[in-house]
Amino acid sequence: MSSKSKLRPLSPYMLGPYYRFEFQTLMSIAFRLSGVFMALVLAPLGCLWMLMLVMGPESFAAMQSFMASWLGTAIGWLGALAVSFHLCAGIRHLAWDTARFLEKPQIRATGWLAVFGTLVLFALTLWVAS
Amino acid sequence: MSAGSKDWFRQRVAAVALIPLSAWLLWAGASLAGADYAAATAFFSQPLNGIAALLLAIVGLYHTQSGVTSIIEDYIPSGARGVLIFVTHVGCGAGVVAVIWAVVNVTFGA
Repeated sequence: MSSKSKLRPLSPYMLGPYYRFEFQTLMSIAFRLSGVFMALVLAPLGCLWMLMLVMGPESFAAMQSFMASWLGTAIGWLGALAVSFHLCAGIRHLAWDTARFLEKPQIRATGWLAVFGTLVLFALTLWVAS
Repeated sequence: MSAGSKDWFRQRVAAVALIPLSAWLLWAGASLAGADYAAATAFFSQPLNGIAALLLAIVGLYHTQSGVTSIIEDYIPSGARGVLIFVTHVGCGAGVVAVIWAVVNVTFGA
């Protein structure tokens, strides 16, 4: 790394003196947080789940009994919520990448639309699971 | 296309592909909640579900790697940065290998 790139500032933290906290701040933080949760918890667990399935009936039964425990259930619900939210908020980001919906009222409206979509997807998932 | 815009474009393609794949994940996760061994192997013996799991692992973990790398670059100063990015790459790579191996065995019965 050159000395010049070492001097480059890091991103300013969103919580702090740099930005006023508003709805969009919350959406942005939740987008990253849901991604981090999927990366650190859901993805490793999903890969482990597949491996336990290949290892045979006993391993898989142990995996499923963990998933049925309070911790496994909580991870499942939070995971469904994280995937639903990251999907809806991600579509919003893809739309922004085409330089659309960037006016302030549109940012607010698409934000609420993403929240609504998240709740619909989450409810549908719980309905399929039941 | 420059290296930067190639990277950017590849990330958008992955993100778009993840729209149907994460919808599948929600459906599959909900369907397999509480499933026993017979039900789970029956689910993955359907080629479409095996292929969806395979694509989800490859595209999803590529997306994971690029997303986590962005977060590291945003907030971690140069010292630990390289190590963390390396660990991210290794972790995502291992996940892809694990799921490919699992699907090859369960779905395609190797």
